[in-house]
Amino acid sequence: MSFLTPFYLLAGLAIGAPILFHLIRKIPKGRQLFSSLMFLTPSPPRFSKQKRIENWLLLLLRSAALILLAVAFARPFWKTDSLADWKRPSEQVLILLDRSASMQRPGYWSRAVIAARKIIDSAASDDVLQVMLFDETSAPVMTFAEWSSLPAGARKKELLQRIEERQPGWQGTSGGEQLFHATTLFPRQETKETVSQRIVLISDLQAGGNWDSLQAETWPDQVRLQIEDVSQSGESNFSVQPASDPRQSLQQFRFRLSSTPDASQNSVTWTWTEVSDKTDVSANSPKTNHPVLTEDVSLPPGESDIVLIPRETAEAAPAVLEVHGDSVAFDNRCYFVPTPAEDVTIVYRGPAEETGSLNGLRFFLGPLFPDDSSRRVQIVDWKAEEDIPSVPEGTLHWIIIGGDLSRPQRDWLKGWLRNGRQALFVARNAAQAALIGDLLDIEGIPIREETVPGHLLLGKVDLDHAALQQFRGPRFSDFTKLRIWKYRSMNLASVPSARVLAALENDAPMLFEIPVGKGMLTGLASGWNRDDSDLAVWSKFVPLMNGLLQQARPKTGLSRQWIVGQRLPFSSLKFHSEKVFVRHAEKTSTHSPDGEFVFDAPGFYQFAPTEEALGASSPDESGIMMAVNLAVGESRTERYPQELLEAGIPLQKGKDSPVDPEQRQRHFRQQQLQEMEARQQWWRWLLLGVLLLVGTESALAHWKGEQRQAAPG
Amino acid sequence: MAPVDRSSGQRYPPPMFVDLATLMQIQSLELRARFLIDGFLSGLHRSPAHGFSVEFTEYRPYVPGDDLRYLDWHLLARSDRYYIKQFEDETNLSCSLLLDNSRSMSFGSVGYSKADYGKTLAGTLACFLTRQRDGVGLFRISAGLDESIPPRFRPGHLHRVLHGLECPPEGTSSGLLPALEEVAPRLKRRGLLVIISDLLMPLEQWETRLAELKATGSDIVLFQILDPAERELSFDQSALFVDAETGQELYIDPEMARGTYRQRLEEHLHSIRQTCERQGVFWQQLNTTDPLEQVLFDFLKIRTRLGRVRHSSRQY
Repeated sequence: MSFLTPFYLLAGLAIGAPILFHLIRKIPKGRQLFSSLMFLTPSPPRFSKQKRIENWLLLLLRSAALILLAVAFARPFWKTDSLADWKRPSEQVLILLDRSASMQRPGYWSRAVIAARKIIDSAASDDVLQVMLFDETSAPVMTFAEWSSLPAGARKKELLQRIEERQPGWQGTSGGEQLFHATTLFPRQETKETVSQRIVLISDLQAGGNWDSLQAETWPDQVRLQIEDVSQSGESNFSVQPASDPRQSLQQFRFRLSSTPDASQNSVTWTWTEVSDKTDVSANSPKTNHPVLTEDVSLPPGESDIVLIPRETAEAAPAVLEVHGDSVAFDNRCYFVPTPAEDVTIVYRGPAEETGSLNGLRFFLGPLFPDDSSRRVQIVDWKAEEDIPSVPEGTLHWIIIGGDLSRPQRDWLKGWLRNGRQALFVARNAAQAALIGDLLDIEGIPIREETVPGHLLLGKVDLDHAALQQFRGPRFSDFTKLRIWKYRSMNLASVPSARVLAALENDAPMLFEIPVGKGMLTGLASGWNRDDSDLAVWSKFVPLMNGLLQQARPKTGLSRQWIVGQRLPFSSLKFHSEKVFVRHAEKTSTHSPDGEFVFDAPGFYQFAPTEEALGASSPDESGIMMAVNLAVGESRTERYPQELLEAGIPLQKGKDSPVDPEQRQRHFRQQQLQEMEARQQWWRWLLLGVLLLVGTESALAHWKGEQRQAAPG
Repeated sequence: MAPVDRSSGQRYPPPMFVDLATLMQIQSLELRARFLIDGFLSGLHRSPAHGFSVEFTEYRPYVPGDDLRYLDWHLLARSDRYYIKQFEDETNLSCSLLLDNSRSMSFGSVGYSKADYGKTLAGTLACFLTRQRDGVGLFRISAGLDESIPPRFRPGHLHRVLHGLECPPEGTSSGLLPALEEVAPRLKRRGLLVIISDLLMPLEQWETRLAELKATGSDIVLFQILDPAERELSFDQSALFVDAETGQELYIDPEMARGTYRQRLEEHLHSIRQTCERQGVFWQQLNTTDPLEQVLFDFLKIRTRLGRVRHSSRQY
């Protein structure tokens, strides 16, 4: 008989315990009534002087149980010849190679390739391999099918060659998602032959790799995971990213400067350098060595700070915010292109006599829409004698109707709405409110002038609407401070497409919208003049109106800040040309305007409708410039706790696949013995015997105890 | 074995000694007591020692001038001797038996307990004293003074005392000393107090209580009853020893504990002896295997001595 784990036999030495126990004079279970214990002190139990073992049968039962238990743990089996032809099951190995931006660090990719080569070289002849590169997505280098289709002698060489040709990219990492996705790539088993499945993850396991998403998945039991960590310690990494959407900045641009928790230095220098020459733009690196701003910053490990760049400095030119002095350079640059402010025109149609009057709507319109870095708002009055507003249609974004409309004005407005534009109609009185029916081509909408004794409050608000979602938080959802004294009640039952956004306490619509062709007419049943309501002095009035304006603006605000891996539809550029030219890193490419562009590296990108436009003298005339930066997570280069990654996943240690031939032979022999023992499983019968012995011993001990108690005296 | 005069060492012809184990099987205490008394007295009557008889304490030789109304004519007819019968109040004692009825008395290793032995002793003494026309009373003590029967010599009184003796042991001996405090005021008539107890208790207040009892003018006889197993801790097996009164449990290996136990017990007994000597209390330590006839014999001597002293003190 042989043993799979013979060292457990040492546990058999534990039978000394019952032998010793049986030598000890037992603590008697008898009781002796005595007159008084005042002259007695307790006596400790002691060994029998004769060293006589009592209860031989109990001792034998206990010793036998311990011996059987030790033998069971030692996993005994009989060596037979049935495994002479036992064949080691083949293995399916999927190598997942990290090619995210963090692998750009010096030495990382080369270590990863070495690790992959080691795995490939150690594969047995009947093993099947697949190699995938992953970052935000994954792409095969060679699939299982390709491997199997190649001649056996050429597979490894071909695969290694393909890997050597690859380089890391600049995208972020969806480690958890791609790792779990890899478990679904193993081919389905068509025979009953046992196949081992293993994923080899070769990565730097950086904390920003989104590994947490793996915890939400159930790892398949049959797939083992082997982790090859190519990271190294002792790095100090500082990074810089835009802190907020530059379109929302007012006086300055904000950038976040961060350091990793494992950084060994606590100070760094940043520079802000504008790119004023087109060649600088093309080459993505400011060749002019004159930074506009620079500062030394003290930043402890794991901390972050905000770098503020005054707005006027970054008004026109693209720029690079760069950190200097850390040991990891791949994420030291932040490319920045300020988004130019958009001219927004709002046309107001209202009674001329109300201009300057507190009881008119026009008085409150001016300060309603403040300028910011993304827009400059202009309010233009639509005079009664003008059939159409006197502003170029391309710059007209929104129309507010606060008075009567002439017939031509109504007709023009109808067409404007049906073309996909928006307007806000403020009902001033019942007669003026009837224009709504005209604009909608609906007759007989019941409208009545209402004067409220006291005042009314809002009763219902639809916070799901885009303009009203900003009021969802508990701090902002108190609508009880708005008082309405006069309003126009409208029965919108005849307008099925109407959507009431806010209603009064008596369920009368206060704010509503009705689609008109491709556009939208928003209606307000009460004005913000002081005779009608408190709207003009209500704290939520300005954000409400700006929310409605934001909805009305056509989506022309194109962000100039992008992340590597994002896709830009060429249609959003509105070039209206047959081709789109893109320049990046001194390379120009041509694309169809129907497609999209994928940003594959950080830096500046120029998009122009013609190649000549790319060579204009100033960036502003070179079409549209975009700045592309790394995903924020790629700068979190500190190591992700491997134990979190391994939780719930069957792991395979490196020693399970040795490379040395002698080690492989020993490993194969061990697998044979394991297979032999697994077929016989004598340990189950031995455990059954232990249970029987323990049961018999318990019954016998109980019976002897009862006998002892029944004995007189 | 014949009773022995402990002072002279003289052995007397054996009365009809009854095996105690057999005697204790007699359920009725009265029967046991009378059996013992009859056997004891018949043995004493065969004794050649003159002037030594319970009955003799009731007589004195006639001297010219005595009142012939008190001449015992029956005795003259029987023995040709002239004796004057003593008046009862001249020789009779008021004797109170104080029985310790705590649970420690329920221990016994010889087939019967100390309580059985003590009650038989007390019952026998009560019968004997009644025959002597002495008044007999009873104090039964356990956690406190459970029963108090004042000493009387009346028809039916003995039966009442014997009935009071038959109550089973209960309570703790820690009640003995407070009970003695209650007994002292009840000893109104100078007489004899016989204490029957194992005295297995702390002795801090013991001398004080004895002194209080002595201060009443009573003579005190103390019979301390112990079981042979208690004296020697003669147990073979280790066991969980349980205190009969407190319920406390201790694992005891008798072989290991015997030496210390005996030493402590001897110290305890020595302390009791010294206290009794200081207070003029007659103390006798009894084993439950000691013949009760011997105990009666000793008690008779005490009784006789006390009667002479009184008599002589009355004459003078």
